[in-house]
Amino acid sequence: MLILSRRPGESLTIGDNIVVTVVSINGNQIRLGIDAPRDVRVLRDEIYKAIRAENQAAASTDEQKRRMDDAFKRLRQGSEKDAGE
Amino acid sequence: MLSNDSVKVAKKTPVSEHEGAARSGESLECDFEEQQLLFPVGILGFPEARHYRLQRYRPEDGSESPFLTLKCLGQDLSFALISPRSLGLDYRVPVSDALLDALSAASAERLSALLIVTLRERMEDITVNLQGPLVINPASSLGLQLVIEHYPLRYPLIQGSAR
Repeated sequence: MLILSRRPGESLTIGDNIVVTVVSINGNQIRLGIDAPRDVRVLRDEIYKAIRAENQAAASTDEQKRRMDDAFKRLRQGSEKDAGE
Repeated sequence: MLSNDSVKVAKKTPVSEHEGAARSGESLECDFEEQQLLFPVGILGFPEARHYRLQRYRPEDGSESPFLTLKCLGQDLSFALISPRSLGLDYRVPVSDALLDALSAASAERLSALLIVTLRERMEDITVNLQGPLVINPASSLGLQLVIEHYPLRYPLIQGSAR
């Protein structure tokens, strides 16, 4: 990992078009400003990882399609049973 | 006991029956049967999978279902989706100029939001991802996964189920 020291107001450039600026430091909290092209997704790391993990949990392969069919079937049966009660 | 209210609502109001333009800005509806889509930057965790086919899920017996499937073309990968409206949710998507740009949309009315369903073995464990909706523009066939931090990552599909 590349490690750099920066002061508030200073920036670093990633590639040709991403600029990260240290806006301010307050105790153990650092505010960063990020300039990046619109198609570059900038997310808090924990959010990124949580959504990626959930996507991976949700992804089905063709072999698992039967599981999807089963789940839909169970859902439907469940709601029909409830409706009939 | 389980309350299947959300599913009952979904059965009564198939996705395709939702008509009319989305209210200005944010409540994005979904009213199509089948659609090919390009996700230019993929779905988080699947950056290489970009071409998908979205279609209504048809149970084997031909009955109605509130679900859709998003199947990757050329890869063994698919997702189960549901419209937030089918869950009876007042689900709001912040529509920025950047989002409209990315999806080549002139206005929010052109967009639809769909939620990824995480299927699990136990029915009451099945959840819907409200935090990472797929926003699509049927007119341009473009889609992306948005992140809305204030919505839950795992919203139970069946409300009232024990968590």
